[in-house]
Amino acid sequence: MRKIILIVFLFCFTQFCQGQTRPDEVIVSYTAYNKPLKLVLKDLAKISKVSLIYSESRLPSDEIVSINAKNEKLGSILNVVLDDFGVSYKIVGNQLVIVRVESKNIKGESRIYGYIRDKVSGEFLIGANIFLHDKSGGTITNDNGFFSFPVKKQEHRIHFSYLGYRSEIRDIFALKDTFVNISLHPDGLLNEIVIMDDLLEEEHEQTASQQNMHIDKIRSSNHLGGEADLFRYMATQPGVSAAAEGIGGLNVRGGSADQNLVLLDGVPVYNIGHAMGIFSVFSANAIKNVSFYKGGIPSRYAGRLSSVIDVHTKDGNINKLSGDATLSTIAFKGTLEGPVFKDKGSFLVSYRRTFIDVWIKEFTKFQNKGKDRIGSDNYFFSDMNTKLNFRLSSKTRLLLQTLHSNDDFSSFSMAGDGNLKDDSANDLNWGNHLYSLRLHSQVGKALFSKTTLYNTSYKFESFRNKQFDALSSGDTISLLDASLYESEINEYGMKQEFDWLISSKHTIKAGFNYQNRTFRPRATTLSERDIDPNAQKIDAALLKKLNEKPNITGNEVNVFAEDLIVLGEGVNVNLGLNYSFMQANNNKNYSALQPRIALLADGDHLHFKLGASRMVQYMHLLTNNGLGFPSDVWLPVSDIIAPQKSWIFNTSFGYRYNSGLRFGMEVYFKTMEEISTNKEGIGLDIGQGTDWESEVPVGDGYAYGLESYVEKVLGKTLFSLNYTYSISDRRFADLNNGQKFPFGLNRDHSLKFSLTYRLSQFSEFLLNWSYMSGNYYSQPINATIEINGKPVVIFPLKNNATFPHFHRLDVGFSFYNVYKWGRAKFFLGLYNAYNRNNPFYTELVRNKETDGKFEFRQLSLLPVLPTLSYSISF
Amino acid sequence: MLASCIDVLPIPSDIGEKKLFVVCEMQVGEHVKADVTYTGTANGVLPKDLEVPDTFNISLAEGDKDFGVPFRFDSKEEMFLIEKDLIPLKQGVRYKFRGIGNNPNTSEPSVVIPEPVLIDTVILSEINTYSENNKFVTSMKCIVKISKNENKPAYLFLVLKTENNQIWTVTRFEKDQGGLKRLHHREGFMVDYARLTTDEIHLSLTLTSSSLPTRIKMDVSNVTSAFYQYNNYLSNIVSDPGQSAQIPAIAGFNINTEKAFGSFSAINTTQRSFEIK
Repeated sequence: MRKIILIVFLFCFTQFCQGQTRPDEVIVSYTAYNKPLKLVLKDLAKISKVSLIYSESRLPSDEIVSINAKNEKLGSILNVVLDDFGVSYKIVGNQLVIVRVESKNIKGESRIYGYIRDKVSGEFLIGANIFLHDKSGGTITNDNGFFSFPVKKQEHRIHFSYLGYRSEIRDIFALKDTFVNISLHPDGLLNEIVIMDDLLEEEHEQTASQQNMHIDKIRSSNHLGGEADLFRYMATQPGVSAAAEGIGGLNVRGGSADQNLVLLDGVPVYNIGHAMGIFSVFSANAIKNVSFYKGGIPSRYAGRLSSVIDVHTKDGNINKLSGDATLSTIAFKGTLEGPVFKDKGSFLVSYRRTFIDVWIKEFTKFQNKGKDRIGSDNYFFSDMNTKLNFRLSSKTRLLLQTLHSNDDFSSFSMAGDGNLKDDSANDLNWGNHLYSLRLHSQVGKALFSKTTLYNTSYKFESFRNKQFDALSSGDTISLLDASLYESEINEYGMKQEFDWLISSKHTIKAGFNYQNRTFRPRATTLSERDIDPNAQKIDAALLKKLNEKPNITGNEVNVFAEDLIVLGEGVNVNLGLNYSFMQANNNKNYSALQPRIALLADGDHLHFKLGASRMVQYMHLLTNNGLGFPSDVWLPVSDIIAPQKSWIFNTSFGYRYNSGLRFGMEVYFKTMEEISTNKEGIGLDIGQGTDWESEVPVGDGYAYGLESYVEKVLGKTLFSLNYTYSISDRRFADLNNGQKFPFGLNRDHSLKFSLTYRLSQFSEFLLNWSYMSGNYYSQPINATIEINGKPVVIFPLKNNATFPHFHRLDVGFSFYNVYKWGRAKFFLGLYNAYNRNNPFYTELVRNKETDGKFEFRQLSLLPVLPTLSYSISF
Repeated sequence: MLASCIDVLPIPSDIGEKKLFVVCEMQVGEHVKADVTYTGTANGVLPKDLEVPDTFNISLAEGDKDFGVPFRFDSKEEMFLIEKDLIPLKQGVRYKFRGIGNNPNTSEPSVVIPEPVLIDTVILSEINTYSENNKFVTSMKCIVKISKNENKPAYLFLVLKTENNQIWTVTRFEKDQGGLKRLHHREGFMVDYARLTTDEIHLSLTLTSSSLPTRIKMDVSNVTSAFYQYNNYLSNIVSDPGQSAQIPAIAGFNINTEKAFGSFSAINTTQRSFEIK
């Protein structure tokens, strides 16, 4: 709604009203220094006792004016004051009316710049759209809600919009550079309810490669254990799959989990999973915005091969104390945010802790007892995110942030009396710790500076011990299989980025970053060949004594520049270059030039995208990819292990009908060089002085595929369907006898369907169904040979078989209520509604009681699970 | 561990028992020996020795010759054997293993005897000796330069010994690490020659001995790909191969016929000895 406020100052005296003197000839003396124009006009009206009438929206009222006039005519003073702003005055009766000067006489450009915020919380909105009514120009806000773009010196009708918010239209008479602060009101009373009309707006293409994750969709997406989760939502997107239920990480376009760069407010996080990847460490309630790149990756991002997940968290409500709390079947979580030092800053604290440890121990004890065994499992996770946001000035903010996440799993199990010895113990714990200090400054009207200092660290420890008796040639022998995998990364970093909103045709981002990383990996295995399992206690401490952790440090520097060039209406290209330099150990240096391009042509209905990215990754992750207990070990590049590299090419089109239907298709091709994986058979013995680096298999790979989607809004229902065809192969000289083999976690076909039906203004029904080809595994043949006196099952080829197809149905209902104090939400659902046993991993088990008999087992997690959660927010 | 369900996946049953497992590693200048046993099955039948080995009719054929020289069973060594005088192995000649059927889409399992590999130069440097617990610990850097030849070898197998046949331990591969393969099941290491950036092998060696070593003796063998793959496989196999924690080692067999699995390989060894100064 166009908002015009007429302000009239009437200070009329009878004698003046009789028209003795023209109103602009009244003599006044007035001095003002750096005073807003609006106040200057107010002062002049008061001093001269002449009515000054103007429309506030026509005046750049925040502009500062300085004037010193002594016994001057009011008209002369006004001419001086108003001239710069393209306005003048007219005499109407005994009043002066401020009017526009005809714009055809004004040449040149001015700049409209400012910030867009959430009206309720004061949060800066990232990626909000700003565009001229005739669509001849526009821009989007950066990750500080800042925008700036040049316009002709004339009046403009400007639209400000953001998904999930009421749009706003302003008429701005931009004869001078004009600063505007826009506050958009959240659309609807209930943030969580996905507004159907908005859903298709999501596809208003902004850049060629960025995919903005709809935060309301994430929060309302189907929950496991009542927990809405970013990565579970992302796994429903085309080209993305969670490896398997219970295996951490996302696989994007045939890449492995380590190839995704996950940033929390610009700082890398190494392990994003709780509960072996079932949940992410980011609480959905603390997330403000998520950008996802899987092709055409901008040059400001570097360090991983396949994708970028850029998560921005809320800065905290600057207007009032607010928060939320959720109690679900597995965890409690809460968020509290509010202002500090009125108008000077805000804080946010988000905490989550599972409480399944309360019952899981007793439950598994009962389970074991049923199998004539003694033992139990225990598990918990927690995470805490804190943020302090200080407004140092109108243009500068200081942000302090921390993230702590911990997972701890332990289990032990022993055979009951009378059985052959069969003991096992597993301990698995990992955690992230992140500290960052960021300074965000608006430098001038078109330049924004972001400086970040951070420390991010990750620690993983996995200990497994199996001791059992088995028959061998009629005798009972004691066997031992113990392993310890540890991984520590400690990274200190500094980033400096500039956003230069240079013109309506060019937006330049440039900067550099420096990272110092220390890796401390360790991998040790122990068998009965090494030690008598009955002679001493086998525990993690014993295995730690066998291998000293090496300290491997490296320094990485990235320098980047990119230019988002507007080629025409709806057509833009992002051209960028990233240069990276890595100083590894033993004076070995690596460097790489990483060119990037992303093209977008967006019409009223049809859009087309094209991208090419060169990516380099200066670290590796050795993982067992779902075969047995997790054993993730991060390794740096070194004088022996080279950086991983990839090329990603992608092209797509999409079409939007006015009827609420949209569909699209994308094809991609990716090459991967110098990638690494775990070796076959005997695990790596990683420790100080073990020359383990020479045994890390290094090879190449490629992936290609097709992704397609259809979305349709029909009345109160949103249907969404996507299909992905994916091929991802690897070739390692040291694996599979040098022959090509499929990437184990790839799924050739995946079909994902979701339905959201709004039952009423305060309730909705959600349904998700996924159907995917099985992951690959190595299938043995029914033949054994004798090696070292023991039977060995023959595996003829690597990843020569696939698991049964994966499919799962999740359903749920959300009910909302609005109260005086806030809102409440109740979620009721079923996860894995028809109890499909989807594979978790396989293991080949030697039957202890029959010499030479093997079983090839598939373990499944997560049966049908009822899901309940109750949330309040205020 | 908490798991909702455990299903047993089927292991294809079409292989069955009583298939043969054949390992024949031919060494130029030596008798040809073949170890032949029965395979077992995954459902409990153990691998076992042949019941009546004398009745087996397996042979080795040279080049395009129609007839093969038969193996005889040596009960002392419990192996099939052909004396070196009966079939002197010649470099560059193809030998076929007969009596166990054909590999898929190919003929009988066969290998070509590789040429010998000559060492051009050996450079020993940074020789350092100290005593510890009444033993001498010697370490040094060693560069082995292979003679340039028209036919570059595909794979090498090296064993480094002292004059007393003690084995020098390779503590570190100093260059082209991806092309060098440490072996866990036998002495020595293998080289994938195509992955070397030069004709040189750079090593760090160490030895703990009761007397000071004076020489380094090198057995440098040019080996077939079947030798490389089978030894790589054996080296990778875990101590108890029935356990689940490891990624399976993929069998490096070049015999995969309707009757047998196994490895048929050849090795041509050159010995050189160098004084340590």
